[in-house]
Amino acid sequence: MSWYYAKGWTDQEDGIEQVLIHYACTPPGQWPDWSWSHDARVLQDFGGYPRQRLKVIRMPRDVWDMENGWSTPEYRFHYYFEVYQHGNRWTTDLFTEDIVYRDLEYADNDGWVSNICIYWSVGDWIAPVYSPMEESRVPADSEFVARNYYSYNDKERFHHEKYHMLRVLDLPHRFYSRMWGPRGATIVQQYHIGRMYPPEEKSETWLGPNGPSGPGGDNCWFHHL
Amino acid sequence: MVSSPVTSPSGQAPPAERGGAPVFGLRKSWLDPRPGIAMVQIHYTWSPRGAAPDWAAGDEVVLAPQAGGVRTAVLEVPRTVDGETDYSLHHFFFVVGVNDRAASPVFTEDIVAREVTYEDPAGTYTSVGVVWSAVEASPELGVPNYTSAVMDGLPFESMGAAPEDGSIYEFVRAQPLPHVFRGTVWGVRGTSIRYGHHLIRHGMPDPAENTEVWDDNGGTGWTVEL
Repeated sequence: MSWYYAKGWTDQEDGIEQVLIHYACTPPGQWPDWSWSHDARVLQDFGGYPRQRLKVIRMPRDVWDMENGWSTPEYRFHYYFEVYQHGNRWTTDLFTEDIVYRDLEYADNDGWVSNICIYWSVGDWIAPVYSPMEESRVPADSEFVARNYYSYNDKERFHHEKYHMLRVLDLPHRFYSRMWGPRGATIVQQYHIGRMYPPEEKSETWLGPNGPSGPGGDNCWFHHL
Repeated sequence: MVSSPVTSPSGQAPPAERGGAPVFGLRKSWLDPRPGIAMVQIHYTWSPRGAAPDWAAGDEVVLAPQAGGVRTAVLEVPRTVDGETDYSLHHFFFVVGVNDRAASPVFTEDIVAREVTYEDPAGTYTSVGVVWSAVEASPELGVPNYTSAVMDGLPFESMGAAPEDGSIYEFVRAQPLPHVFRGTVWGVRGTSIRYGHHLIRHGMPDPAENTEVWDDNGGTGWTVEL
């Protein structure tokens, strides 16, 4: 599972035909070997004046640290733009951002919630991510862990089993998930909470600091990374 | 935020093996069948052709609402699976309404590759790239992808970005005319791909003769059926 990070470009001069972003992720404190491997994407041209370009980048949840032999959820994101202009090309400076995470806990004091996700995005709602939350006492190898929900064919069975699995756990139920972003950035965030069992009590809503609402918008928490 | 500069004042490419990114962008769209839909997610994964999907290895993205109840997202999918350019892409939509949620059936599509060529009868260019996108309902929905073409007789190829310049001119001009450049585009079988050419002349004895041109056939590009 990935998260998404939008990178934009505004043409500052005429004659720009194409803009690419080149990028690589490394463990903390390390630099990319551009000659070995990196990714490159063409930015989508959204037009306008000045012309806007954008690429939403699929970002990893961890990066393998070859030096230490482990994967790390905090890493560095290195990128530069390559600009094709007036029949030539030039590149910007190299930018490096520290990608950090923020763990989020939702405490359900009365056991109402059977399904919960966080809905979040870096900066604004341009590239939202929907991350399932899990109660830490649910066995990781259970077929009813939240991440299995979407591809589980019999949703009603899943609702029933998950409800009973949670019901026997002492309150409060504490659900966890994780968000990522560049250090210094702001994450906007809401919860999507649902009670999917029993059927006559089925209900769900998006939740912000001002109570239930739709997804996105101003009714959200802000997390400064 | 700015660390070590890699700007090349002469307009040269950065000192890197260019690109190599083994993915391409593929847009998927959804039309709300009724009001009251709060969010639509697409879950996707891929497999060798004919193999069942492994959803544990899948990914997902939230579709961005557009005007008229349309939602879209760009999937990043591989150019090869187990070394094959043709494979199966599986996806389904997860739809959250006001008080309900549902998953669509799983859709399985064949991802296929096609070769497109550029013939350079006079040997004008040293490298050619292909910029391509699936033909969408409107041009703004196009997702630009890039493939470096391989010239017949030369072994150089890079999938994701423009080729590095350098002394390639000497290699290219040693080849007999016409020069034929072959690039690969990918997409869903049965769809159309629109493409244009990135025509590059680098490494000329007189640097003033170096140039790069983006040829999109007067804005319409060329199309190939998959």
